[in-house]
Amino acid sequence: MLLNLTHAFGFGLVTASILAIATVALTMQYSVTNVPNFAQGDIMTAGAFGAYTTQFVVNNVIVQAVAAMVVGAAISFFLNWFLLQPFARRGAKPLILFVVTIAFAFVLENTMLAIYGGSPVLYKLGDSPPNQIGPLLLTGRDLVIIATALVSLASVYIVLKYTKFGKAQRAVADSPDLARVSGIDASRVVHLTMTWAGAMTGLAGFVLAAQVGAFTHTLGFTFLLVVLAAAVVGGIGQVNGAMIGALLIGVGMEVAALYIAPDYKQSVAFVALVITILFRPDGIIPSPSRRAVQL
Amino acid sequence: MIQYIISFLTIGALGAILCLGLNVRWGWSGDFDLAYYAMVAVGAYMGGVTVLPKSQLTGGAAWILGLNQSFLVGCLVAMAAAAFVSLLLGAVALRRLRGDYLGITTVAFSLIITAVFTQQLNLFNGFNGLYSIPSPFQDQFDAFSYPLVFLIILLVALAIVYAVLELLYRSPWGLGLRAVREDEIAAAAFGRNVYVTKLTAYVLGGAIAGLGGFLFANYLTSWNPASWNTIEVFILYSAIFLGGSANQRGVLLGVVVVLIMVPEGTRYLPNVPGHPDLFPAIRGLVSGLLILIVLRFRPQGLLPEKRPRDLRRKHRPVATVAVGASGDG
Repeated sequence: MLLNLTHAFGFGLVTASILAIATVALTMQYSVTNVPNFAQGDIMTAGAFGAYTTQFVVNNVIVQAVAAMVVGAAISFFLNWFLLQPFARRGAKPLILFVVTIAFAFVLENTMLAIYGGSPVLYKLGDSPPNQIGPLLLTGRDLVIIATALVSLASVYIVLKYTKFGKAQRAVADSPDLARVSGIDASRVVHLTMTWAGAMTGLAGFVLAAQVGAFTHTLGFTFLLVVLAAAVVGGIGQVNGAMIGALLIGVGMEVAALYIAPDYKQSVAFVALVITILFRPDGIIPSPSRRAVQL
Repeated sequence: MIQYIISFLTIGALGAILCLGLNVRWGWSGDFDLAYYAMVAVGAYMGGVTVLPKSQLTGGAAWILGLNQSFLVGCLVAMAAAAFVSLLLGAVALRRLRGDYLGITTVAFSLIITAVFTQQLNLFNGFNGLYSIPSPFQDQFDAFSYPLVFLIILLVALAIVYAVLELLYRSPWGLGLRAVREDEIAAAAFGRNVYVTKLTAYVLGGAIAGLGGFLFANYLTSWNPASWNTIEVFILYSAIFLGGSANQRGVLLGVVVVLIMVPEGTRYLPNVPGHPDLFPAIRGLVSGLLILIVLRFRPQGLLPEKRPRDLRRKHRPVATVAVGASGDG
């Protein structure tokens, strides 16, 4: 039983790594634009399909990962440039912008259904047999996934903390108007943030597809809710909060799967999401500038 | 030809009932609810097990109840069950949550319900769900004329729902609800209980969802846990946005366009061999694009809601709030 528990913890670490990439992208995008991007799940799927399609041209994992990032960045940029910004300029309320991201997600998902059809496509990466690392049992692919997550999280952390652009991002997240008065080009910051978040989301989609091995056009949608759960539990707008949220939700889901039917394991994340929203809407690490529920 | 017209009118009438219920939540109350299909599924299931006989299946998978009751009892049970689920979710979610957080919470709730449907074999009979649900009054008509009879039943149900909702819309409660939607703080200052008003609207929408779901199950004669996809609600939303949120006539117009004209229009596209998912994909694509186009260029919809006006005043928002809040005075 203890052995099962440590193995589940190992699976949980891998799930948490995938989750962390998507969650940090979501939380960064959410805090800067103040609109949760519901299309993010489908941008993950698009990234996965991007990697899947690239494998027929170039049989190199790194090229496929980059393709996924490019697809994600391009779609996210398109969404912001052609939809969210024009709506925002006309003074649309945040709720309407939220509806726009869902409608865009719906369009994106059905476009992928039209192109790739409804039956699952196989996406298999070469894998090594599991190695014993400390108490954990991890395959080579698992290690690559964890390393990818660590690198992308570290890059976000460094940019936010130590660069001028990161400072501008935090200023826009605090108050776009005050940022503009201080000479920051707020809409440029939003464009760059959306594109960057899109690239990370595409990468998360690639990693998720590589882990599950076969996927359809609905890959990202249910995963998005798990990502939202991690972001909300950790505290929207906080990178370290997103990491803690991803770790809690990812490990929690896999460990819970030992005790309940595996199909309920995502419900664990949804229940955590609902409980957090109801009782501690600002999450574990509340963002100083943002209050989740106004009334 | 006549059979063909009956078939798409049937779909339209079913969609219209569902859309009118969702319109109570989104149009009248302004709550962006994404758990609507969970209520539809609950109503369909509970109505179905009310009219079906007892489950004879063995081996753990079964449906509950099996009361073998009449169609009308089924309708009532479906509405009550969906209203009850709406009350549970609404009582928790509407207390503090609005906007995007309400949307996220309701979609999470809806996905939890879907997981329960597919997992609890002893309650919901797993992937088989319910089948051979008896259609109302089918034994009194032959198979050829029955589709018309069923359509008439649906149109009667739609007329009742429409008339009741129209009365409620014009009632003091309806005015109060719109006042709450426009400005919660102002409505509260005029003595409206924001939470109770919104919760009542949420439960009312849920009851109609249950009725629509049960009629849908009657039409399909089956109920399958996998067929109630949370995100499908967006097709209903596209009809409401297009026609005009909060305006019932607008919603019916939206249903005609989105649920009748779009599917019938795409029916004649050339068939692509080996690609059975193309038509559903195009329908979804068109629904999503319609929402984006309508929100961008005509956010109030084709037939906008009529706003109450005090002709002696120029500042309409103030008058709207005052009229709404003094509605029961």
